Amino acid sequence: MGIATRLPWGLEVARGEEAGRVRTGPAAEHVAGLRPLARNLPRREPAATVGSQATPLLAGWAESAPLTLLAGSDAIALRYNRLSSHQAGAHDMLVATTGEDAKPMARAFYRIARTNPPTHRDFLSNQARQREPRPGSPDELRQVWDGLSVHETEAQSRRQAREFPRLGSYIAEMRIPDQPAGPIRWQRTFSRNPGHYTLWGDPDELLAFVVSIVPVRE
Amino acid sequence: MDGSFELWNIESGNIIGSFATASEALAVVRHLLDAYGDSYASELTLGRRDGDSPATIVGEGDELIAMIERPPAEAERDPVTATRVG
Repeated sequence: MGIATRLPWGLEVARGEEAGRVRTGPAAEHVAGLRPLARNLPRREPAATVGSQATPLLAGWAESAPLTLLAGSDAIALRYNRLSSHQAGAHDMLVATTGEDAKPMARAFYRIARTNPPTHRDFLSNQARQREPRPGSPDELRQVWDGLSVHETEAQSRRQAREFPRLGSYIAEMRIPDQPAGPIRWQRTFSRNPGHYTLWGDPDELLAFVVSIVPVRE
Repeated sequence: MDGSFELWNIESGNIIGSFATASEALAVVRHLLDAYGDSYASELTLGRRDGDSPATIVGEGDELIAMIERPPAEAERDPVTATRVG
């Protein structure tokens, strides 16, 4: 898909068969030359490409854009494996794995998008689109004017997109690190809309957390 | 029935508000058009959500301008018909 994402944790990793460790920390350190291999792999399901007892979260091919890892515990290990020559590309592969004590560290949200791949434009709030709230605006409007509409599940976003077809034709899945002091915050909003949340954060930061995108009509 | 009216900016893909009545939603539409001009209506869609039933579009774009020019009570009583105006 070529979605450019990034790794928001510091890294210690060695090429070859050596495993490294991921450190949690505020500093973002990009892993150059990676792109998502596929939609995020289910947690606690072994990857066929890695003969490890650890649990892969996400894998990526080396050569393209940075990759987001979907967990931030220090129990995560990184492993570079050289794929065999008969596999496509034969590039180095990065696999993020967790140990038994790893904790889920990412929260999933789903955003209706207009394009595939999604762009910066798909993650703009009303305010970011150069529409400042005006004096006298209702409080409810002000509270979300600088936020982004997302849903808790893909099904809820799909339903919304079918009800309001002009919103967009794709659903982008975002995995956002669950960090209290992180750059993205969220709140359940508009309780009469099933699963609706508002996210607040920089559009490019939000875009960076996209891990997959699917059409509304499958 | 726990109905509500949702106002979305379909260009940004963000909800603007959820309202108990069409009158309240149209008041916000009027506020937004006063602030940003009538052309802003092209970015707006108003839908009605009734419980677990799929939401239906009440009006969008110029239809909303027509609706705020009608008495709010009329729009609230028959919001779906209002989409056919114009």
